[in-house]
Amino acid sequence: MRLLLIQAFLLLSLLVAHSFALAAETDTATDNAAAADSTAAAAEDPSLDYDQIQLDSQSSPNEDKSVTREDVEGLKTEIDVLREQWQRKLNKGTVQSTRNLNLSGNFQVRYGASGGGTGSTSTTDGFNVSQVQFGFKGNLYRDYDQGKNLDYAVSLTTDKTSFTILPNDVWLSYNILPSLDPEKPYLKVTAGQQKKPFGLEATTSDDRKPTVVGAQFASAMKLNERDIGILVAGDLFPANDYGFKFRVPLIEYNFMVLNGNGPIGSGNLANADNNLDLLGRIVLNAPVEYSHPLRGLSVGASYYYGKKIVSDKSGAIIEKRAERKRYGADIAYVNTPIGFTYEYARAVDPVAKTVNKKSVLDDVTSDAHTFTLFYNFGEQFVKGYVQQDRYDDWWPLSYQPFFRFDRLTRDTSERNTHTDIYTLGFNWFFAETTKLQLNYNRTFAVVNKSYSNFDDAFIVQFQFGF
Amino acid sequence: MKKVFGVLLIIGIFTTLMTGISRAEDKPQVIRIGCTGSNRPIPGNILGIVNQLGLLEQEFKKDGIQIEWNVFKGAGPASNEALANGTVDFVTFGDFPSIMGKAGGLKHKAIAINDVRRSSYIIIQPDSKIKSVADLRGKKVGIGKGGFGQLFFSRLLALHGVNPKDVREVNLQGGDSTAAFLAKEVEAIVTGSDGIDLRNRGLGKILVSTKNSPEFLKATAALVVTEQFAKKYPEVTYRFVKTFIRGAKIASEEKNRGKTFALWGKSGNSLQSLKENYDGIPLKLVTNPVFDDFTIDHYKQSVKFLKDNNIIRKAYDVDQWIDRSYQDRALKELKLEKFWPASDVEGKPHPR
Repeated sequence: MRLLLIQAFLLLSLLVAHSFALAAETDTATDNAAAADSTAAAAEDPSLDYDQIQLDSQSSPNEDKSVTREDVEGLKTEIDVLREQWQRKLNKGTVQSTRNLNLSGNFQVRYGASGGGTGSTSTTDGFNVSQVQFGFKGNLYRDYDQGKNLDYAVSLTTDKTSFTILPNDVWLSYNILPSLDPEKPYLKVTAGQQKKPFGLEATTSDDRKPTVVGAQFASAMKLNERDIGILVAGDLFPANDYGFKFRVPLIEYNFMVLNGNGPIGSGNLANADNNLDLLGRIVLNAPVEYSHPLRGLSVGASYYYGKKIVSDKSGAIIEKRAERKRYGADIAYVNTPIGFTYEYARAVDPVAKTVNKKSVLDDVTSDAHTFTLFYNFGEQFVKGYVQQDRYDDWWPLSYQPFFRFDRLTRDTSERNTHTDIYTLGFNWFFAETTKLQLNYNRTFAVVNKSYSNFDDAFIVQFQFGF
Repeated sequence: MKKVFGVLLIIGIFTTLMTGISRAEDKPQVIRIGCTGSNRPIPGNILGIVNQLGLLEQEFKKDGIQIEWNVFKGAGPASNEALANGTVDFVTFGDFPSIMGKAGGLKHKAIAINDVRRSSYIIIQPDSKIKSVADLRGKKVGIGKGGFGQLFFSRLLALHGVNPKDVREVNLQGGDSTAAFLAKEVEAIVTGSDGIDLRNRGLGKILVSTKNSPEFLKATAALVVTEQFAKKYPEVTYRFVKTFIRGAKIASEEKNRGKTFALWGKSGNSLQSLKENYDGIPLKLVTNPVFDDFTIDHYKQSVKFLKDNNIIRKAYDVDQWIDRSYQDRALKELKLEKFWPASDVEGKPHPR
């Protein structure tokens, strides 16, 4: 801020100093420089000169008059007063940080109504504040030369049931490879509590998800919760379209070593099972120019391997290093105006099973399919358009009708038994960082090919942030 | 009942919006303009004058057509993105991004020149021992890739026989470029007339100014309209161009030089840098909205250069891209056919 003040002062000083020169120069700026002297006289259309244009006070060109010494002294005094006021305000009432800091927040207020179903519903009738999240992000070191920046993030969120404040993101990241040249591959390492790079649903932030309620598998397979570990993420063979500042690598890869115990505050203050898990993800993107119809097409595969302690109902440990696995495959086409995502996930989890009154180790396999079809129109999905400078406040609009099919089979050994949720929804994005979501969910519980019960719910949610 | 209400609400909102959007009209409700700039009046060119004088607002007020100004911090690439997504109707941008977008398949027509013979600068550190463009070999040069500077710098290096791979180009956009230069993280930066301010403050030296260089090194910017808009609203497009040319006429008058610079100065350029940048250059040469042999050839040679250097994958026909019909009609109606000089392919002006 102090630097800005000094710059403003210098700028104003320059302005004053050169007003003299300009005033004099204006009078002598002549047609004699007109190279071709295209003297064919233009028509004397009165609307073709400054004098005839009705100007408002703000856009009126400066009058060509000399500035007196008194004017300059007066301006200097005014700048001094302004500087003192600014400094005082800066010292007293401005939030300051020792490093670059970006403060953000994301909140959800919703109303849900369920009705008509024959089974239990997960939607509670009435109003609810379903998410309160604050985030702090910035860089601890900025490398102008190569972009090998050291970045950090800390965010806090509320537990959805008790409203306890919990750490969400707590990480430090470093760009190992330069990040300023879009024609070269990037490589970054991130350490701390962060998202697990598995599939699409688990890695997409809430403000970008079309549905109010996430896909079933993400929570059932514990893929959407943060974990603590170290992630190496990079890409290879980038295609770059300078005309649109659009960069898409052919290959993206992620490799993570993590506790596998979930985030801090969920009862896991340490790596309770004393095992480290591994996670890998690879994505192939269509390496095309921005205006190519295949822009946004990607295919991904994810794999998670971990170990956990399995106990029986009495709490006795059966196995300290029982294997658990996750497999995922996804395809996405995210373009405008139409796009879709499809994701398959499979989980193998160890469980305790009683055989002949004795607890033994067994496993349960679950799988899931999630398909979303959407249609976007409006401005908020156009990055460069939203990031513009305007005098007025910013009210870009976007509309996104969508349909989602979401199936979760909790135990694949129970054939033809699964839960299906069909969602018809409409998202209305407005005021830059706000969206209104309307979702109609119809949930079917299928047991042995027949519907055992169904629920339906209508959810309205405002999601807003800064 | 609730579920029926929910479904009906979702379908109703969607249907209403789609109906409203697809309604055909003989005139638009709003004309959406995209240009480059920061949170100030838009930069020093013809559109900047048109914007600050409110000429378009006056022209379309009687029709109830609103003028929406979209000023993109992301410059040319953001303009291309907006064009690709149908969020703007008219755009002004530099030669490099307009060629990149057009070569990438955007459907628009060039209908006027917004800025021609704009000078570019290479600024080096005050204590730098760099004496020539050839000395930039092995040096770190900050450049906003995707912007006007990329074409200029590429052609400059080619002119001096320097292989671009021998220069360590650092992709720095906007304020980052100046910040990196002041922090001495880069040894040179490619910039516009802002470079003059750096020199005047003793913070840099001018290594290259294209002011007195071959004309082809100077930047040119065009006004384009989407093919969809022009086809749907040809008369509105014509009136837009006519108004634009009125602004150009005002900006081109030497007697208005001081007032024009004062308006341009509001975009953030110091008056001193504007004065120096255009010193000795007739305004009619830099605010000439009319396509002539020089500007047409500039685009043709630039497309060829970018294709030959594999910066664009496919070339396009510049003659097909330029649509002079609107400006020819406007010039005739305003009796300005001979007001601006025409220039030959070398940039040498001559009376029309």
